[in-house]
Amino acid sequence: MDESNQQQREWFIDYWVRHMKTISDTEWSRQQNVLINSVLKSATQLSRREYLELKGEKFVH
Amino acid sequence: MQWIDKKTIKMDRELSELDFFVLKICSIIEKHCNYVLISGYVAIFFGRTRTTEDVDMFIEKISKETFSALYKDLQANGFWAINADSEEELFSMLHDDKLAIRFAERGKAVPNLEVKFVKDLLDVIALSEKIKAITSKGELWISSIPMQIAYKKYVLQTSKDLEDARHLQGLFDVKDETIKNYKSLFKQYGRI
Repeated sequence: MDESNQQQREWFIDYWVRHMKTISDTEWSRQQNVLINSVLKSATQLSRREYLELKGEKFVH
Repeated sequence: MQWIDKKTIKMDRELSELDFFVLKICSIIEKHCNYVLISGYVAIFFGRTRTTEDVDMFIEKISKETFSALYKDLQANGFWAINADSEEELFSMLHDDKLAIRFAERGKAVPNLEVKFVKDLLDVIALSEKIKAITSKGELWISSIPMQIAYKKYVLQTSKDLEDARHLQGLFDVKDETIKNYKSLFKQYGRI
């Protein structure tokens, strides 16, 4: 990750923390959950063997 | 969020699909043993704008009989293990091989809970310093915030972990001195 990209990411983390402190848990979590739920939905298609392969682990019989 | 006391925090967050999964599986696990949630999920639970497909947990060392009861309870409540089906094999992975085993809702691999036995005193400290997080649908035992920040900052040190640490430290206004206190402990137990 280049330096400017890293600085942008850190700026966003600090911005988000400040934002969280100004609004209720319900509000920030609703915004956060859009990301969490959509990523999980797309990832749930994997079988356990496919998942373990991705993680470099094996199913033990 | 509101601290009720030094070891209890009340969260009014809207729960995500990941939270529902964690709350359900933790409510079963806590009937059988002490546990603590660690690593990425801690940062996500407290608002970090990322997700994870696996949630990490330490549990106390339990006997084969207790594990058997836990595994049966998980199965009866719609969960399966991802790494193996055999109860013997799963216990051996945890106990003999010191490996993690993963549980998910039956038929799925994601999200999953990655469970490890505590392996040394440092892990036991993580378990004993846990805090209780109260949500609208139940309670979770979560690692101490300063310890998580320190572990991510000094031990794990990937970009993702450093960002999680920055988020938690900013959110909870944890002083650098508090974090640094953990450094010698991590050295003592060979993490750094």
